[in-house]
Amino acid sequence: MEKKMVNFMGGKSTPGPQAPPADPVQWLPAKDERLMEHSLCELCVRLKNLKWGALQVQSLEEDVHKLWETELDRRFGCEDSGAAAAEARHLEENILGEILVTSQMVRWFAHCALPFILQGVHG
Amino acid sequence: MVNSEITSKGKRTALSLLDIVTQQQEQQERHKENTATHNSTAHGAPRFQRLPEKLSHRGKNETVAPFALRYRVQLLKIHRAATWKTFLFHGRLVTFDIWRACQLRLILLLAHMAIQMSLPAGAGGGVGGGGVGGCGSGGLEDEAGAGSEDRWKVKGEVRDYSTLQLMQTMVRIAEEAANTSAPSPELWNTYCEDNYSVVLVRLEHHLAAVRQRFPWVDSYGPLSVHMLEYLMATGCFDESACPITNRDDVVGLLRTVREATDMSEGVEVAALAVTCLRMYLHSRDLDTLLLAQQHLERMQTLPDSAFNTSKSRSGGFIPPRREQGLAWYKVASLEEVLSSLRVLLSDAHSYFINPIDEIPVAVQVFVMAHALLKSANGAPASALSSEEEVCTCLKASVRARFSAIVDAQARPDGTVNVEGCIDAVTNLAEEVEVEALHFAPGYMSMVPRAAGIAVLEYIICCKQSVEDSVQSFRTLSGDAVRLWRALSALQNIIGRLVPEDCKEEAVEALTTLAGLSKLFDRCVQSWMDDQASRYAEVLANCIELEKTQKWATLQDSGVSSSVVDLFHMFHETVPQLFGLGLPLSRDDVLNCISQVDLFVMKYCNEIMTQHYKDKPFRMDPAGLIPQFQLKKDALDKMTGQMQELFTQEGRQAARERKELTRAPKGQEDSMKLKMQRSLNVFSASSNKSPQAEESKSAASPIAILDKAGQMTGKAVPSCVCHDFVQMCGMAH
Repeated sequence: MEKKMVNFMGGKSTPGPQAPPADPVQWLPAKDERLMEHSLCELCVRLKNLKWGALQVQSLEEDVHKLWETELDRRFGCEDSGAAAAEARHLEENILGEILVTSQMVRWFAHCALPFILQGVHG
Repeated sequence: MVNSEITSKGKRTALSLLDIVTQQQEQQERHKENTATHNSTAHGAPRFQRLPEKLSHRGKNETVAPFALRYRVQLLKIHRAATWKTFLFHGRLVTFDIWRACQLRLILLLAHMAIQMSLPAGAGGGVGGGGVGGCGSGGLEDEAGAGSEDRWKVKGEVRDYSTLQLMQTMVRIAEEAANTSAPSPELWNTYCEDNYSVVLVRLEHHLAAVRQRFPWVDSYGPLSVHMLEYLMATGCFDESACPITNRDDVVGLLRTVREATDMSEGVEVAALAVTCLRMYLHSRDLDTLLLAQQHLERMQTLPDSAFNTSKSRSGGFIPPRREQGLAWYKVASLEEVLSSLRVLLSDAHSYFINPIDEIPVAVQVFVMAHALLKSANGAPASALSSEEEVCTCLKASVRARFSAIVDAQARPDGTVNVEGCIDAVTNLAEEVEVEALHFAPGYMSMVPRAAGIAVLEYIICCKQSVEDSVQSFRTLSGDAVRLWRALSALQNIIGRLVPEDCKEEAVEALTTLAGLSKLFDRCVQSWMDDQASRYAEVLANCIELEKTQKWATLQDSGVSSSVVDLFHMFHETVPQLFGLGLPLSRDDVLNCISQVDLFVMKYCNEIMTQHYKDKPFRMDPAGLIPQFQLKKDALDKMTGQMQELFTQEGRQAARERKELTRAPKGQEDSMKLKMQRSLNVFSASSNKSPQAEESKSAASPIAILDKAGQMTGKAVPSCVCHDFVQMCGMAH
């Protein structure tokens, strides 16, 4: 089964010892050989970790925004509850903006690519 | 006789009897003038003192002040027992002997006061401390043996006197004069008159020595005014010592004294105001302060001329600033009122017992005195308005209170450590509340935003003190958290207590407090550095564990422990950051989250990276997608076939399916036809042309296999063919 997965992962046969590598990519070990090191189960766990991590990143981002809003409410609530406070509260310097930017890649993989991969792996 | 008669009560009574003879002589005439021109004079007391014609200074070249030494000596020279008319004063019969004793006592008192006032501070006793008879004791003894300047040259005397000897001699002369009496006028004229005149002349010579050195004793200078104040303090406020318990009588007596000293009404009012204030400082009785306020209100109604008694100028020494009669006294009394109240209002927490009631009155009195002083002639120009003065007092009061709070936490060397600073800030929250509710409102009559100004001043002092005590926190510590919590409590109180009309001060106070957050910058940064180290350590441990356990999944989940541990840690970090109890800025939050972001990405890299022969290779999910798309159908087929071939259930299901699809009897296809049908299906899935399908339709199974084997290396994708061949092989 693992051997079949190696093939499905795009593995190609290892170039023969007689054939000199024309492309530098060919200096790399063959993908099937590399994938032989991993079991299918391990691969699935990694991918599931990635997907679960993407959900956690989203949750974490929501938590940070919520806590920051609470902090702003506390900070400006004690000073003033009028329109001036509301205006100061929404100043640009108080807006947290987009956070966990680097982790957006994880989310992209998880949301776009990995479900499909997982679906493929598990049928 | 004088010594024996002098008691505190007797002395005051005697002083009140001054000039009573003259008052009686002029009573009718005075009453007419009073009713005609001065309706404001109450109690029937004389408005001014008329001197006997012989003593009247008006129209003469030399002015003799009514309260002066020479005036009293001249009275003694004029009056005799034979012509004396006994009178009643407050129920007491005043005979010639009593009157003469009072005059002599006053003469000695004036001389004593003049000498005492000229002495350096602390060299002598108080004016009223020893009584007339005892004037030679006390401070005068100390200077008896002083240098040549303290020797007194007396006209008609051979030797010089020391100060003590001079006073003792005057007391003996006064005693001799007081003891001179005769049973009848004839005997007096025969035996006493000459000696009595000589005694009085001798007394006059001794007093002349005093006047020569202290000319102002004959003027209206401070002596008379201080005497008036003394009488007011004793007569109005010391009821145990005053023989007159009726306040109206006291006021009448004071007016008598004032008029006897030829002082204007303004001086009396000023003296009353300043005396009431002194009494308030002593007793802290609000009624006394209100009384001072009333006297100041009276002062406001009086013109400056009411304080100028140019007729009182004498030929003697008068200090330059006192050339305008007693106008200087108005300035002096107002300055005293102002300075006294400035002290009180500048440390209200220490001085006011009932601040809510007392401070507003004190502020009113202060403002009235300030306005009067600014309008008075000869007053020093004040650059500040009344509002600014009161505001300055309020700020000074706040600073004084804050200093007391901080000093309570100071160490023996006077410095305040971080612990003390935290305690001070903690206590300050309560103090600010007390100030805003009980003390600052008292200043609001002049400073409408007193509460805001007071709170802001507290915060400014607090900021300075915290900065002095705490340079900065290098690491996250309990002290840092406690201090910021105390500051935060202060912030909350400011937001809650400061009135609506003091928003400007409240915002400034909060901004000032927020400026202290820079003390904690390194503290937050230090905590973040610690978190980053922890992240790195936990991530490394997790990855190592995953490698060891071959990415084993957790029970009832599809994920391994690393992702759970890491994100549990990240989720814990965020509330910790906001719950640190330290000031957080947007940058702090972003810095912390960027650390989390970084380590999430590191973990993902670990997931996506495989290691082969000590070299990392990154999995590219995007690159895998096309492969899955192409192989998905084949994989599905392969999986289905494998289930049919390798499992009993699969084989049974296949048999049942086969039975259902079997053709009716007699119409069974041959084995050849079956294989051909199978080949057609395969050909359709491998996109072969119709011609090729037709050419292979008659092929045997072996041929089909051979053909499939040929196709394996040609048009059909190798993996699919390989799988198919394998499946077939496995079936065999």
